[in-house]
Amino acid sequence: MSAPLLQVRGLRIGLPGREDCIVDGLDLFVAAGESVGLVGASGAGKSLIARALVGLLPSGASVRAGGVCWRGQVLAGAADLQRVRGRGIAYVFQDAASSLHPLRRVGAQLRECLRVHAPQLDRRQMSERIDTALAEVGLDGARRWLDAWPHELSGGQRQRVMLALTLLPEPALLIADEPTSALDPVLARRVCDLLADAARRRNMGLLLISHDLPRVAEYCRRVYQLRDGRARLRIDDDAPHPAAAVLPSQTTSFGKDACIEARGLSLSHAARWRWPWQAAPAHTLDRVSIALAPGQRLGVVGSSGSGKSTLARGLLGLMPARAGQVRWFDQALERLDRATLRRWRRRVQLVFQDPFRSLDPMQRVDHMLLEALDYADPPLPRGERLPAMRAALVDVGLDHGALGRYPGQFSGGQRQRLAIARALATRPQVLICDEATSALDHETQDQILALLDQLARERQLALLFISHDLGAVARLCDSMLVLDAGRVVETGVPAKLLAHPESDALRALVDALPRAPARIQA
Amino acid sequence: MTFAERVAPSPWRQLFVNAAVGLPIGLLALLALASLLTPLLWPYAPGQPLWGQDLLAPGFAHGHWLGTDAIGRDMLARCMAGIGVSLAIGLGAGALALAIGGIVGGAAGYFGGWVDELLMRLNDLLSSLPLMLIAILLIALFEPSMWLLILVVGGFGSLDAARILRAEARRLRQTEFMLASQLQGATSFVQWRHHLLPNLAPVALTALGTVVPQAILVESFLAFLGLGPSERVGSLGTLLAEGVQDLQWAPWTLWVPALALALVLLGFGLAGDALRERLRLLTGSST
Repeated sequence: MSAPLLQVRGLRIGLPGREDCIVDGLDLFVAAGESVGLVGASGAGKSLIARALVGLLPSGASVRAGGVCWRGQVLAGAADLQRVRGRGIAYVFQDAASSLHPLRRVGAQLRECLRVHAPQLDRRQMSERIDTALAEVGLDGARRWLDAWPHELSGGQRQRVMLALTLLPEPALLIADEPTSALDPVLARRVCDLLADAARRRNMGLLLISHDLPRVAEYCRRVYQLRDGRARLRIDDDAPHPAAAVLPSQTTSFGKDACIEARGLSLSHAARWRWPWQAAPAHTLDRVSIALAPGQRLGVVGSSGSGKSTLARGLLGLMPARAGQVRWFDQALERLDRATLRRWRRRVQLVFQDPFRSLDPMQRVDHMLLEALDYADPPLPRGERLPAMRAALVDVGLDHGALGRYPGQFSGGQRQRLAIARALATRPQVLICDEATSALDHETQDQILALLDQLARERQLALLFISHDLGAVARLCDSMLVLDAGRVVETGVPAKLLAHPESDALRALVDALPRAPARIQA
Repeated sequence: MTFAERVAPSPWRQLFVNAAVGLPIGLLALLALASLLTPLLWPYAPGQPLWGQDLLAPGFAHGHWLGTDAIGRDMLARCMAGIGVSLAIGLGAGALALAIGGIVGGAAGYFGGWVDELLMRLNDLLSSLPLMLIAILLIALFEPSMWLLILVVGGFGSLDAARILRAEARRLRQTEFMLASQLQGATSFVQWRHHLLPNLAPVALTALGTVVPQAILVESFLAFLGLGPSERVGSLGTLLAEGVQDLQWAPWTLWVPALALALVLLGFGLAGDALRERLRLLTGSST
């Protein structure tokens, strides 16, 4: 075999003021036309590596040792990198929405790219190239897209425009850094398919960076796992693998008093007031009814934009109901006065998606738990607070040492445990999890799911688990509800629904499940 | 993205315990300490003229290391006292600016709506007044004193501080951790105490890096015009104004206080810049 397209040898990347290296002796290679995956937990340094390959490390971070070879030649210095960027190595950023220039039309940005990388083309050839590039990423009817502003496009469309932009100079290698983590599974699958197609068609190398091992495993023949700053080969064959078995669920229990309930609840983000000739805007959530008794677990699934998070906000009383009502413990929420509502809030708690944003970075863990314990009713006597704080940590699998630390000193999974500890410290009867595991890597997801399962059982919590992760819902919940465009389209026992999806929405979600969850070597 | 697997120090340590922030703050602390200790360790008082020892050039032989001025006052003693006065005015005005700016900006950003509109339009209105003119007017009307200066300069500094802190408070208001605390039943007071103020503090301290030097400069300028505090002990600005008069035959009476002023401003400038940079790294890594 000739020299691989890209070869990384003993790469070490350090941050200022730190002796140890985040990336500590990384070796990997990508051959021409080959798709290679790089997976790792959040914070493992994946993005740093991707940026180091194109010489775009964030300020402060530096390459301490090792280097990158491009077609057998060492890349050194800005001139080499400048030459390779774009036509050699193209880079798709994690957050495509913010990678497009907000003040220029899509067409202008595409043309600028071609002017830089293929100045020999005339106008007609240019627009042909652009049309084919847009068609390739599934944006047909190029005219319409060329005149669009980035803000007029949806997240998925922006991601595709970005992809077209990176494919225009015909790069030999495409580095995609978490290209799908901001997308719902249906879109994620489409983007991955697009990437794989484009790579196959032009014999382009593809380095797919993600925290989602099953997804990467489906598209890549070789997958490296990043741990402790080194890459370990995790997958290196093409053997097919049986699909992941869906765990059987517990039987549903009925006949208890609901502690949280929505009756024909409609919610809308649109302004209430409108001109008489304007059509009534569609509700974000349209006549949804649910009821949860203690110990019951309801999973809510749907692709992004289906109204899952809106349902959570409605149930928490953060959005006024346009129709129907929300009831807590058999009281209509809108009837409660402010003081009562505030006192009742502790009984219904929320776990957020992203533990990096839901914990106050300046609040030490003991203060955070103390604040939560303060809301307990009746209040705890002073002497019992410290034991209660320790117990709260032990319950979520953390040790006492965590009390004196700040959220920034924990990993993503530990932070989510902290967030759960905070939510449970007020002794709630209802726990709403809004995509509580979606921002975590797979191993951590498993642990958090097991933890939620155990805690919900021990405390007889009514659990509302919102997710687009069907596997998680099947594992945790005893009933399931599918939302599509704000309406309930299907309800039932998760295992049965997943085996025989009736609605289009659920079928799309089931089809989007990664099909090769791993030829994964231990 | 973060690298939380390796234990990071607490946010406060990350902000302050590093050379870029620590050195300028150390320099300022050293200057303040020197200013406080000079009366105890140095034989000459700042305001006391000495007969027959006027206009001595800096040197060690006569005991006045930094020389004396036109009426025989020891420059080192005056300079150290001047640093003390300038620092007091600067820090006093800075503290006042942050206190007012924190409350006004915090309220505007936190409550939003008409509170925000009202406070910020008022802020715009006051910002459009020329600071120097008002300051000169007020000082001409009342007895010029250190407190008046602090009040005027701090009051004006609070307009900028309010704008900076309002933006930050608005951002914080929308964070999920604020929502989480609201969902647990927190009152506005609890949210301010536990979340808003601690998270505003680093930004406020960074703002101090611009507000304090501005206050010191304004004070120097006013003193230069002869509108300085009437206290017996002058600030660095008073010293500069007098130094200019004796520039031809005693240049040290100008450059010694000028150097001291430059050191003080440099300290605040560097500390502010370094803090801003650390804060950027910190918030960039925690979101």
